Amino acid sequence: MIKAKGLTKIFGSATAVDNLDFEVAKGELFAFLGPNGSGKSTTIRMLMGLLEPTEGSVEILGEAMSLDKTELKKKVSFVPDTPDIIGKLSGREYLNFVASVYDMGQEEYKRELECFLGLFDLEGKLDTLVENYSHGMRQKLVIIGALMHHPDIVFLDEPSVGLDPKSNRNLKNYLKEFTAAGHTVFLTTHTLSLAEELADRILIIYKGVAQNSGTLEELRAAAGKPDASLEDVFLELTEGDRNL
Amino acid sequence: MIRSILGVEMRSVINFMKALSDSKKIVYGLLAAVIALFILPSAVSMLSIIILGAGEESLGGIILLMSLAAVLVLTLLAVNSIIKEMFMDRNIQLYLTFPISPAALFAAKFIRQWLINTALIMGVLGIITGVLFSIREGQWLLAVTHIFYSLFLSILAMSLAYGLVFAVTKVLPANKVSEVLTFLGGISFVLVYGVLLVGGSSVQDISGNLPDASFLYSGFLYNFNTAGALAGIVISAALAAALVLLLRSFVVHAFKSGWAGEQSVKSRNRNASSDASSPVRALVQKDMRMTLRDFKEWAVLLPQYLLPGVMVFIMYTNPAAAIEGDGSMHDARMIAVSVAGTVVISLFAGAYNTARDAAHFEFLKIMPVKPADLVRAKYLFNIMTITPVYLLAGAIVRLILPVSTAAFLYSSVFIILVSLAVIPAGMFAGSVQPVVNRKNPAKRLDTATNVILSVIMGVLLIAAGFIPILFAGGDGGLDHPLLDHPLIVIILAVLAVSAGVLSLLFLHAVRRRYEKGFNITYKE
Repeated sequence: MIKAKGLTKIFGSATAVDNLDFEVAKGELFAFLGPNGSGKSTTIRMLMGLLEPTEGSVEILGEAMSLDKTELKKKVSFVPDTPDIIGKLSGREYLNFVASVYDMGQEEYKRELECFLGLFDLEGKLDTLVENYSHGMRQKLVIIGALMHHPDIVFLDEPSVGLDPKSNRNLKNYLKEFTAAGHTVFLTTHTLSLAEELADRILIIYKGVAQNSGTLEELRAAAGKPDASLEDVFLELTEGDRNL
Repeated sequence: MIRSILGVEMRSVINFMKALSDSKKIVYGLLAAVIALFILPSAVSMLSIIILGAGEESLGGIILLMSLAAVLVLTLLAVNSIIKEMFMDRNIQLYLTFPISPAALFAAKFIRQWLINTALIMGVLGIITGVLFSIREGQWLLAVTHIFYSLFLSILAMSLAYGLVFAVTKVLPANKVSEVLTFLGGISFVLVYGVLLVGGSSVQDISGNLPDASFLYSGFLYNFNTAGALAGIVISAALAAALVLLLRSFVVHAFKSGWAGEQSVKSRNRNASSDASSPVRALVQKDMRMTLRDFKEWAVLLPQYLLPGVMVFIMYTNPAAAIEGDGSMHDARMIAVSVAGTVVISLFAGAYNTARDAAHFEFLKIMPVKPADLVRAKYLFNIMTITPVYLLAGAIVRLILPVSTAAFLYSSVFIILVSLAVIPAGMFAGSVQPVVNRKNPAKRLDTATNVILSVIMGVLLIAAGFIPILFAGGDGGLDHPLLDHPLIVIILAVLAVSAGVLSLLFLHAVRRRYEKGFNITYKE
């Protein structure tokens, strides 16, 4: 579903992402972890076609990714790390736009909207301008926009930031069902417990270079800590003996 | 897809209008009334006089001149809008995460920007000039050719604006693009003002040396003939289409590869010794670094810093305001500009520099720093960035104009005293109702404060024209030696006392605001 080969991005003399290779299979929830400034957002932007790689290639659903490929982009969606939305719109106007550009049918849109509004407690709040929403409400709106048309692949960049506990749990449950139904999730997060609970496989990137990848068990083995939490494993693999 | 994007853009504009406060609706209504009742009729009557009264031999030159002026002004006006829409907010990146092609996005954005920024103005101008030429020549098809030509100019202006912005993004390192674009957006308005002033004051000289451009326009925009009109329309349409296609390929490429030039992000090693200092010194250093390291800060204040230059320009170029006189008149003008200019910049810079604290007010309050120290540091910073700049400007004027040394010294004293007295008033204005606007950091004052400061600025602009007369003598003659005039001494004394009293009163009021907390308005 997602294939990155030799993915490299150089800004001037700084290498943000260095020769990244990985594949994500259908129905997999793939966690892409790394410290701040390690190249996660740059990688996601390249996977989405928003940034051209300096070297290497990206394949999404078997096709080379490009901003021009609107049909391919209809099968993919993205939740950015900050829940900004286009224009000065109300929640409903924003979702109407999303439904239009993803060619959702009227009935399907109504049905999904009802389902997601219940899931994220946004009933009765859709007709307010989004600029008056709290951070969490915006996050919910952007997540609904990304999921309601059932994309084959969804890229989630820090999706749980700002969500209340109930919505957080609902999101996790939804993502489990979503991947079980054959959809693919590419997740980046600093909330390691989220990745630990949801991820089928994990890739850790550090200073632009892929460190380790595999299931949690495989990472534990690589770190030499068979019973450790993902947090311990992550710190061991990224910082080594510099940990406190 | 283009319709969906335009629908969102239209919806945003409607929501923006609906969300306006009543006071802003009144301001916009008044503005529209001024344009409809004053500016538009003035433009029509001015164009009527020019077009209906000009000889046929100069028509080509007049059209060429008006075209160049219109394109220049519209390009500068469009720059700001392009920067804001294409770079300053994240709309473009967000749109591209949806199944929208870069070409469709460019088309929608271009149509919107073109309609709002240039097509509307040029369309109206095209209708006016078309009707006037039709009346002049009795050929109504000239209205059509003029509208075509005007719309071509509107596309040319948009293309030039895009080209200018695009060049900046390609030349500069990525980390400076945003700052420089904000700066460019800010000064574009100053440049428009400059173009209008210079153009207005030099129109007689220019009109005497108009190039012969009849080969461009004869048959197309005047002396109508069908072949000339068709050729003009086809060439205008072809050039417009070529410009749009060229622009499309540039912008689509930029969407795909990232706007910012992939120049090296040079990180200069700064001398970062870890030394602690007094709170006041640290706060002044903070303000100084925020200003020097960010072009956006320059953009906010640059128009005000340039205003005295505009005053000097008006006094020496506008026949209505200029009064011919001897050396004492230059001296009087120098002092007039020093006083008026220092009041304006002290008010504006004081207000904007203080309102800047709203963005990190909670942080300032959390720090163990006394409000009195915050105010002291802000006052010191304002003095350091306003007074020396004006003293330097005075020295430059002294080199250019025949101003006596004594008048230069007096005006320097005025600059120091006036800035000391007025900066606290500006600080107070900035602390009344500061605004934090994430998308437009330059917008820091609420509408009411802005209006009050603008009115003061307008009054001073007018008053600056009369102050020289005040200094030059009461008998109507201009031969009074400036420095013998007792008024100077009286004003100096009054200013010296008021500087102290006003400073203390306003500084106290500002300190109270820092203690109680700013009443901040947050905007998207």
